Amino acid sequence: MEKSINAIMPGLCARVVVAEGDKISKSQEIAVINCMKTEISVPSEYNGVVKKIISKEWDELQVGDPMIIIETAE
Amino acid sequence: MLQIKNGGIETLVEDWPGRLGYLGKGMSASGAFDNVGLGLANILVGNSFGEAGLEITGGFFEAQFGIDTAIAVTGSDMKPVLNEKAIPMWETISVSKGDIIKFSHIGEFGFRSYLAVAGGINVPEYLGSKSTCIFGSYGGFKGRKLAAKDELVFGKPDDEPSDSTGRKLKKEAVPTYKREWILRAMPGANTSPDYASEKGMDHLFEHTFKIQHTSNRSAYRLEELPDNFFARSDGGVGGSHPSNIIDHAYAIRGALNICGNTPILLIADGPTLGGYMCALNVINADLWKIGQGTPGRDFIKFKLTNQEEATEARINQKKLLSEASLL
Amino acid sequence: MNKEKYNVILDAIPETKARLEILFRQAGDGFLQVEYGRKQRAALQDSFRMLAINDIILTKKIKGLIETVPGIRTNLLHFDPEVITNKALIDIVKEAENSMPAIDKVVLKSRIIHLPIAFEDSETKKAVEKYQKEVRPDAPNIINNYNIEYIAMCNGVTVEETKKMILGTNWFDSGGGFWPGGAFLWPMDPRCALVVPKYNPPRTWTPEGAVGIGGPCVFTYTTPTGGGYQLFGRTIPTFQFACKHPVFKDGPFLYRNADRVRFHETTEKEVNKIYKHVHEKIDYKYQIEEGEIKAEEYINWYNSEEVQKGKKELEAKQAIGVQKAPRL
Repeated sequence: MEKSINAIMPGLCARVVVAEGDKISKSQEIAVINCMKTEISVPSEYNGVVKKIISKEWDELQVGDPMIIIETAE
Repeated sequence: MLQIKNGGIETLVEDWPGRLGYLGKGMSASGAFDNVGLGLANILVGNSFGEAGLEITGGFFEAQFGIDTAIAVTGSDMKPVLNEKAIPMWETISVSKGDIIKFSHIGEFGFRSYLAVAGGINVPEYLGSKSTCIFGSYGGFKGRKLAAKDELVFGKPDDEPSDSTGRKLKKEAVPTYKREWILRAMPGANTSPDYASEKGMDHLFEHTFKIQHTSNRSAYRLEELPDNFFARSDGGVGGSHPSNIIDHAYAIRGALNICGNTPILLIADGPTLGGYMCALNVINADLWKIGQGTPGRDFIKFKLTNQEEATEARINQKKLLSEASLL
Repeated sequence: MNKEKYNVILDAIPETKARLEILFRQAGDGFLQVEYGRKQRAALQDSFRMLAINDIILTKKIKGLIETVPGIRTNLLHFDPEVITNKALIDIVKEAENSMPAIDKVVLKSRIIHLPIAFEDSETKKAVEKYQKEVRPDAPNIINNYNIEYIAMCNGVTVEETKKMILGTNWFDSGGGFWPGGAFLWPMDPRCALVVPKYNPPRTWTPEGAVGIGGPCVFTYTTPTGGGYQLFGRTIPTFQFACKHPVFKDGPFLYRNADRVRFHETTEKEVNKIYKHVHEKIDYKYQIEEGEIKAEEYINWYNSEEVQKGKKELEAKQAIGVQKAPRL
């Protein structure tokens, strides 16, 4: 099933640290958001495979904006 | 006792009015960024309004209670749950030993939640306050934000915590959150005609400024000002840019510092002195709104006010942060 | 009417022989800024007077006055408007000013704190190295892995002369701020008045005790932090969070307003040893002398032919140095 992993904070996308096709596990860091002059880690909520990267560096994000799409096992 | 499971983005022990009297020693007051949120939570659980509580910025805080007590959650609605069951905000609820409280991300409005516990958070006072200065790494809980496995101790409440259970606030006492925050402000110390142009000052009070994503407890950065803001072409002996001035003390909390063309609100942990002009000062009674301003999303607009209104607003805020606000 | 819209000068008292015009500026609903002169200047005589007046104000223990924050030419009064009005505070400042009509009455309590310094020590060198590696590899203010040659270059003098100037004057604390326990230290002898630009961009780390210069001021770093001053050595602790050592029993700060700092050269080994005796064994004896500054004496000395001659000579060297030194 397709699930999106969303921005957990407003801010700028600092980087996405996974690539399409990567196998990722729950709570693994998938991206970093810059807010309050701090780097905030965005964890995956699921196990799965990265299907699509949506966010790129410098994108302005709001809470809930999808950053990547993953294909989950279930 | 409270055992931290997840510190979240940034959770700090803060009180109010913070650490007063050390600006000349390079220490700003710190204190709750939204003192109305903390104050009302405290009143709900039977504490004095300035007692130390938890300031939860950005969300994702999670902790387990070690005793039966009473708590209240105010501020941004981060969908708090107790043992996975939603709990109401802006009212007193009782918790039992072993209960786990958990916050999600920030809500539609606001950026900070406050958690008050009957008896307050018992950390040692440093220079007269329990507040954390995250910028200088002192005060509060070991001078830092909370992390998993930290254990906080509560103070001894004056009354039985169960006495306050079920307390609610009068509807008019609950502050209204918006995405555009109107901050009442007094011009000064550096305005027109000597430092800024009158047009520039008009712009400051007419424009709606987006809060930049780099904003934090030291500084809230706003959109740049046009060059015609300044009355001078350079800073004279103070420096090359017209925003430069010979170093002077900053009137924090609340000064709007003009740093180059960037207006910066100096707040809780902000710098106490420096070489940039200050064009206005947000009145003390409106400082709380800055704390709920969400970086990268919300807007700020300044509204011209005067000393009389500002002093009256302080008096009204004291009334609000009292048992008179309880239903 | 419209002209008054942003007026913040609530009151003023005219210039006299002994001092500049004084402006009272509104700076918020709980802040009043007292400013010396309409035209900005950084002159120690203003600071002497400001601090002497500040002492008078503080002695009165005014209800509702939370604190005062003196700078080189301003004093910020932080007050509770529910207890005292800015109008009442203005009257109190005016009264204090009027009680000190002539310059010969300006006598300021001022301690001399003797601080050992190790020039070009390895800790501050680490900070410079880290900056070059992580922040600005092409930093023109780093020559032979350090800042002292750049300081000398900016002022048209040699490194040895630079050290002599640092050791050769008292450094006057016009008031603290910016960083916990920090103080801005001004050279009292204009013949030792080095001037340098600050780092651009700033450092991310500086060790405790680092001594640097930025603009005209020297700063001793109280705790490890970022910073922008050009580094030339390391001194002993001037701050202690834990307040264990007897000199810090009333608070974590060493400096008080109007202190004078005098550096004397020592070895890095000695400085390191003193750290242990301040922070661990808490038995180091700080060398602090009580004393006072008489403003009139200072001004006469400052204006003497010998001092003015030396001042002009340095300024001539600096004019050449500024041309040579790369901008940051």
